[in-house]
Amino acid sequence: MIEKDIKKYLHASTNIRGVVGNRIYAGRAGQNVVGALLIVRNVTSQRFYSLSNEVGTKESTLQVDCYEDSATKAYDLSELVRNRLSGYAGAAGDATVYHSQIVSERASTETPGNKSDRWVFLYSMDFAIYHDSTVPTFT
Amino acid sequence: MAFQTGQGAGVVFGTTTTFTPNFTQIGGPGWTRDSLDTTTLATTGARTMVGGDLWTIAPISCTFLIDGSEIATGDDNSIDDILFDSSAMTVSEAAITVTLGNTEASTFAAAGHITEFQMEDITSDALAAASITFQWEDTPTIVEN
Repeated sequence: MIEKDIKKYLHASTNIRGVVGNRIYAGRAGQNVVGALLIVRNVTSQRFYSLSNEVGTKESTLQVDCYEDSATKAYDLSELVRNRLSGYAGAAGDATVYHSQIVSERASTETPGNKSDRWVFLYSMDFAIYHDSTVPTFT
Repeated sequence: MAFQTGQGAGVVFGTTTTFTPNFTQIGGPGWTRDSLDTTTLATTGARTMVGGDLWTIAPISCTFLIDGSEIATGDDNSIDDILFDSSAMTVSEAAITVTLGNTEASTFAAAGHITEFQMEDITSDALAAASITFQWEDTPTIVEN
């Protein structure tokens, strides 16, 4: 799963780990997680075909959500992610990334819930990532 | 009768065996001819027409994904092999065969030559691709399999 591979790649950055520690999640985070965190989600993927078979490259759109306790900190965290991933090509976890680019980004907030008075600040980026994919062998 | 997609279709250039890219599209064979106007001053109602005697065989363009690590001589996407090095395609009258995607693999084949090889624009948000265009030198032989 590319989101797990990108999670590993982001986690290998000392700059990012210095802010979020091990709080980098693929898919979703637990409800009781405290502190800055990243969530990497696979929004959609596209496979490619020739006339004879599926080819070994896939494009996945990954949403990377950067959570912090202020808008500025959320943006600063997103900058660490951008610095790590935007335009990257190379190994990432068990995958090989051929190209990665940001296709959209936005800031938002989540209102306090469960009688909390703490707002959550979020900066999200969507990355279009071309990466390797196994070719089906019909076994 | 079974109508099928182009899955499994292919094109073979002469005896070249090293040029085997991942084709994503193979242009369909086409024949055109002029329609000649035989209208005279005596014609009434509508112009009259007659078909020309000879068909023109349309050029065929094929597109394929190109792997930058497979473009040297002997590789799957070798440009040298298909344009220059191969004894097959440097000869004008090499047989070019288009195979349909039906299970039995019906074919269109005739002597032909390549008229164009073009890599598409190299961008960061699309897979690298190229196209090759060939011209049959006579109407292809159609073999239903």
